[in-house]
Amino acid sequence: MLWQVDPSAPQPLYEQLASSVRRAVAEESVAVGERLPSAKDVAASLDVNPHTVLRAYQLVRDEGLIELRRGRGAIVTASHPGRGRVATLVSELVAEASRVGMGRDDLARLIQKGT
Amino acid sequence: MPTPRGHQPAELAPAHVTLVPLAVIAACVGGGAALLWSVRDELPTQIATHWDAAGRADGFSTLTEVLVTDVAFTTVMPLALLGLGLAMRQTRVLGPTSGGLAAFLAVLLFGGAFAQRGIEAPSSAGVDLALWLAYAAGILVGVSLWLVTRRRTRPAAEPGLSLPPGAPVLATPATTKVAWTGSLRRPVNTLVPLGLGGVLVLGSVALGVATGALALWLPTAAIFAAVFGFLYATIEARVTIDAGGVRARGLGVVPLATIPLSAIENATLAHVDPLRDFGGWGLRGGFDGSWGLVTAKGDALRLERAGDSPYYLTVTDAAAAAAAVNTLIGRHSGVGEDRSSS
Repeated sequence: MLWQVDPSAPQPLYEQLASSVRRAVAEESVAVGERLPSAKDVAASLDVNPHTVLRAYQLVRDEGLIELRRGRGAIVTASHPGRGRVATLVSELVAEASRVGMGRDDLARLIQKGT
Repeated sequence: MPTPRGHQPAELAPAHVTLVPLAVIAACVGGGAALLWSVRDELPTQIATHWDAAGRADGFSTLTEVLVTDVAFTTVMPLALLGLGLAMRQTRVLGPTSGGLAAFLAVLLFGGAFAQRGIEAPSSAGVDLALWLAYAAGILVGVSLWLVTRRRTRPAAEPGLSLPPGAPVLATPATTKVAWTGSLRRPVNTLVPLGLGGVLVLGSVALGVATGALALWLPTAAIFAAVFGFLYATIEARVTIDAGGVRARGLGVVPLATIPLSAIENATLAHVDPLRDFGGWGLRGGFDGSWGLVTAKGDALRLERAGDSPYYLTVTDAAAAAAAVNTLIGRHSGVGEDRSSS
């Protein structure tokens, strides 16, 4: 799977890392049951803090895409890649809204209007 | 779209990579024959030359027959291996292997006969010690030859080299850090090589116990364990691509391949068939001098290396892996970073 983080982007690094995982699940470049690299390894490859990677893993764990198992690491458990795709889009939408100065409440109202 | 596999064959290694193993083979044959001839008056009339599974001598030959056979084996088999290395442009691996094989055969065959000096009854001659010494000699000579003939420095890729047309690359700003992680594709359940290796190892040990010749069968068991253990580590290999280069680690820890970005000119997709192109699976040398970690038929990441043969890795999602490599080497070499997307 591809990992991409841009320190100059407004999105927090952990959120960008989480997007990498969501994209990989959505594109099926990681399979259910596959073990993701350790937070330490990802951090070393991207030259970021391991805690940043861990936070990203915890975020996608809370979304139900992976499980964090002691001794085994991060295991992909997503059976709904579509959900991961939506989560990626939401993350990008929030980042763009933030860039143009739109608050989350305004964004929520906009989404409500659109449904 | 995978690129065709055809490319220029790898260049031949320098002459000493072939000549040094050749000299070792000659020394093993000549030295072994001379040693045996020097003690010809102390050898029994009938020399034990074959042993059963229990290590009991059950085949005998005269000195002349022993000399002819041992010279033939110690010459032909290593030379055939060296010739294969020349044909496949893999002398850096098969050269030391042929020298190690010559040492193994010389110690086993000539040494096994030499050890029968002064023996009254050749049927009592054992082979355990000769076998252990032969394995040790083979490994020592093979590793030493590899150290002497291995490549010392790797040429660096020419800076500013442009990518071939159609080579995948990521459309990301220069500030984006990129990495790719994945694994080699697994063609079979990894329990298959483990199970097969286990059967062979336990079978060798069991045979040794059953025949009361455990010392004879332990080296065989150890070799099976090493071969199948390495094969398993290859199948369960994880691959990482980042600013440090392309790295493959068996079971996450056994270093299988480390290729710095500075040594890579470009990355593309290629379609490989491990059996057709490399003669098998795992860490293999190709018939055209290329190298690879090839575990399954299909798309592979092909790394064009500066001044060296291409390297193939049958990774999952090879297209993204190739794009990551090209993006990283573009930044490493300072070539323009904003290119068409993959």
